[in-house]
Amino acid sequence: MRTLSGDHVSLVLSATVALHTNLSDTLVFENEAATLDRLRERLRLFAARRLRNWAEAEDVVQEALRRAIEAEEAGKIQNLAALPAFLFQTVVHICQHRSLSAGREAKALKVMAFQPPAPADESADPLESMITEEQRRNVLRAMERLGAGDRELLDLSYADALDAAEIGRRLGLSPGNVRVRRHRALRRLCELMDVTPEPERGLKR
Amino acid sequence: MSMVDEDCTLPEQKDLAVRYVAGRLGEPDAAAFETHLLSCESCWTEVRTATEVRAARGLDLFVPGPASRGWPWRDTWTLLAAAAAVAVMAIGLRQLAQRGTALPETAVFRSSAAQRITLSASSAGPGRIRLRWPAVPETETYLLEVFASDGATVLERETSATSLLLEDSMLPPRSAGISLFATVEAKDSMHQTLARSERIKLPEP
Repeated sequence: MRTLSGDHVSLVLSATVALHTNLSDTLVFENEAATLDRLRERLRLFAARRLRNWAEAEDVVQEALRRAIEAEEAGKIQNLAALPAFLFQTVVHICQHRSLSAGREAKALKVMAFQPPAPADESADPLESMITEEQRRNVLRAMERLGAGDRELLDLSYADALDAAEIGRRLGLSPGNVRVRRHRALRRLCELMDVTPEPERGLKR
Repeated sequence: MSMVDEDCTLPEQKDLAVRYVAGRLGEPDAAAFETHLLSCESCWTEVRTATEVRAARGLDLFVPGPASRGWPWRDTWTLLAAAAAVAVMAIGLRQLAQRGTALPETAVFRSSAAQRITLSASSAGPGRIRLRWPAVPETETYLLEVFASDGATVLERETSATSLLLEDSMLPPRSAGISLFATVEAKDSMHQTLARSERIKLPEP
């Protein structure tokens, strides 16, 4: 199956919209490719959370992007600012539909006493397919280079999934202080991983 | 289309990113947070980094579970019982004090004597003084007092942070022969003093 990139979708959307609007407006869409790629990563995660299956999540995002193009061509999207919400709702609907279908299929197979083949390993955990081994090593290296305090705070937050109040109780800090330190630790981790530490990442200093 | 929201405080208030990646948000809250993630770069950065940290630590995404690194989980009932015992002791001691029994001031503290903490002051640029003190466990709020050498209180501030920036505009003009001093007290949720500092002299701005 051919994959739709952010560039491709953006081009199609921009060209279609240009037919209905002033051509100068197309300048607005110069950054749409980057925006769509960022959006796409989020949509993949959202779909993977619902389906617990990374490969299916990718299919869902592709399907949502196709529907967005069709909707645009049909003149249903007048304002590209509404595109993220449209795509998100589409992803949710497709996931719901797939879950229902999977449920019906499982019921039918059960009636027929048929055991379906086990799913591929790659779909067992969405995280397995979202983070490559290289990224994993990169994160581990960056974590090792972090200060012990930062590392402890990030582990307590994201590995142990403790809230700020609980971490504060353990470390003798106020919840507000925990959150401030967590943001700083996140920023330092991003810098060590060399991933877009520019201001628009929005991490608080 | 801007996706930057550097002032976002949504996740800080509720630790949403932590709970989202650990699968500890109910579906309505998770879906609402995803809608927010579409347009908030700050929260998305945190979610993405959290997924990377979990992957690096070999943990599943969206799978709730107890803390995985051997931290003891606190027994809620034990904590409640301890809190009740402390409250009863504090009320009893307060009543004894009100009946005129000669009790030292520190007897109404949760421990027999308030802990000492070190307050430090340093210049933070022209006309600014940074006050810092260490975090004290179980502190609800820190009460900072600035007073003149003639005993007059010139400033009182309550904060949950462990530092405070004093600006010249917050302080009265320094008269000849009058110095300013500061102390800080750590208060628990019952406003009992857990710790206090020695008074320190503020540097000239």
